[in-house]
Amino acid sequence: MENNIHALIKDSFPELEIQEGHLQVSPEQLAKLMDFLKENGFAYLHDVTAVDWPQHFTVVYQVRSYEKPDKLTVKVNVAKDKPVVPSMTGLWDSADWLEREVYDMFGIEFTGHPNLKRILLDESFMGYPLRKDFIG
Amino acid sequence: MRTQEITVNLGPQHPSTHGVFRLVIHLDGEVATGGTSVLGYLHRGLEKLAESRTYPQFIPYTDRLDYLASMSNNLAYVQTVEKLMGIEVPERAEYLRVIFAELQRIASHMVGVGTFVMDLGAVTAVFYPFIHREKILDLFSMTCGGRLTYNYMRIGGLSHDIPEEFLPKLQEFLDYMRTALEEYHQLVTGNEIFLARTKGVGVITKEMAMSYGLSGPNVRASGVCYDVRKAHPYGIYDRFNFNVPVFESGDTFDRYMVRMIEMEESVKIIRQAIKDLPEGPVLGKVPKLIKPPAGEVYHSIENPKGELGFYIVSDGSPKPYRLHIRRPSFVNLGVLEEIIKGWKVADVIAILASLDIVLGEVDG
Amino acid sequence: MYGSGVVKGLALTLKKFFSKKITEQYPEERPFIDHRWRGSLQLDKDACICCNMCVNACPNGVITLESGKDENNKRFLTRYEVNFERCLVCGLCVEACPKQCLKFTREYELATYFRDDVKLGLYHNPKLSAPSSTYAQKTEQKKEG
Ligand code: SF4
Ligand code: SF4
Repeated sequence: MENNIHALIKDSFPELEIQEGHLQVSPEQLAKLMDFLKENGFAYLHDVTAVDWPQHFTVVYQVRSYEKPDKLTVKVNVAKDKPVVPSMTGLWDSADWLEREVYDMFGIEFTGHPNLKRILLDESFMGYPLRKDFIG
Repeated sequence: MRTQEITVNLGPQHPSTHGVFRLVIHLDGEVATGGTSVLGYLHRGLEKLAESRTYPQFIPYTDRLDYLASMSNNLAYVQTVEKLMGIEVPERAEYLRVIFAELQRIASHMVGVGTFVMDLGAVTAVFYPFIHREKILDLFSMTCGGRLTYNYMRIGGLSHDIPEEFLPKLQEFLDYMRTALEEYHQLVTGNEIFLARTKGVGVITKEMAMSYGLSGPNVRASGVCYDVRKAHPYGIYDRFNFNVPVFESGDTFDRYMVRMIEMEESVKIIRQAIKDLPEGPVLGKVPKLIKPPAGEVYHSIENPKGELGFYIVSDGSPKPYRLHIRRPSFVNLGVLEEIIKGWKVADVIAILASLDIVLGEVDG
Repeated sequence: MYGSGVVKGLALTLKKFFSKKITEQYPEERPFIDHRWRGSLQLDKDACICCNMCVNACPNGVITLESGKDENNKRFLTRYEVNFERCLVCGLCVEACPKQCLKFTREYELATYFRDDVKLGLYHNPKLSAPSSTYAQKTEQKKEG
């Protein structure tokens, strides 16, 4: 089952490599890949989060299927000085709040998000608390 | 007559918001035309706190996520760390974990349905579930000494074995549960006023449920058969026989029914687990200093509220480099703004209650 | 028949109305507190070897401990404070203690009138008279209670 979907991704995106269910893509490719995944049964955007590495941020998406036991982790590296990724709100509604949370905590911008505001913290809060250089 | 839309603040200090949640509702007369959720009143930054604590030290903090289901939160977290380190858990601990997780599911659903019916105005109906839940809390407190924040699971097993009097008491409780649920159906489920208030109210269609990434009873009430225990079995859940209740119409009544039937199924699972419960230790071989190898792991389990996931990035030190919690209540609440449109204020309260959120988990 | 559901529910309420009452008349009636209860803390300060295990186990940095050395190079306590305000009552300290001299008590009425009273100075007031809990104790003796 899992190999099926892996083979399908390989066919459409020959330059990508799947390692243990992980898929590393570039920000430019992300929208196209996610569109493809949504078309192919991954109807469930389970989680969006980010990790602050010394050189870059990594945005981590967990996509799943409701019917089949398929699951996939998609990762995008974004530059620290200009952290921008396309928003997935057009594909999944759950991306709305999840992306707002990432924006709130990391300051990563999601282009095309209809309402990119802080969600857990107050609008007047300064800084992005889950970045490693944040001093509280 | 000239009319005007008014804006009302529901919460954050309002009993029907089940915590400190604020909903700004726009009203046309008594009918809601839209709403905006305002969160964060209980935000403690647990993900940041985790970065300055060792792996075992974070277990008590997971209690404070969904504080009506601390046991399940413990379970999700310790299983994630075990997966990262490849730690084996003794059989007895695995079975006890299932028993406790399912008891916790019953306890959480008890509060879920009880407060839901109370928010419809039926105050009698909230006391019965709380009486039943009290018996579960007694079982928990005799095992781990706590009634709300259990801190019972450990990386590699459990902190205590069950005391002698636990199993007879549990048997007694399971027998009691049958009459308790029957009584509750008699009291609430057939009640015409209850039906009129819930049937067809706050419908979440299948497409909506999937797009909003709902999980747990909320998605199963909308005709999606998705239960992590079946889809991605964790622990020893593949050894048990149980059904996953799925309802089709996605209204508040179906969400209530899914919870009621899930309690019956949980009782079934516990009965099977007691039958096979082996003897032996409850804590496996664990290194003194928990220091997972560098790497990352994602693990999720079926919490009473939905799919709770932990994402841990380790850099090989005794403290996590990054810990993210995928909180089901947070994601489930996202659908609220959409489904309250066109309902009266009293129904908005019922719809919110039917989603069964816990603010400790929404705000993280 | 419409309304029969309501009648059924009312019948149940009526039945319960005449059955045994379950409300506990606290504070006249005292609740049973489990043997493993996690209440307040107590310390047998003579048995303590000042190993700092409890301090290191605590997630919140609640415990402060100071020690000195006697002529035989044996450590003894000079200060032991628990800032109970910030305590999660998680039990990790009690589990870590190798001498089992730090224990939970089975107290449950822990509210105080003044904020300063929340802090536990276990060196001066080890609270050994309070009923101790069997939480994380290797020999779990049943005490009547
Ligand atoms: S119970 Fe937990 S928080 Fe309290 S002192 Fe012990 S380790 Fe620290
Ligand atoms: S762990 Fe026990 S013996 Fe060690 S310092 Fe703390 S109380 Fe004393």
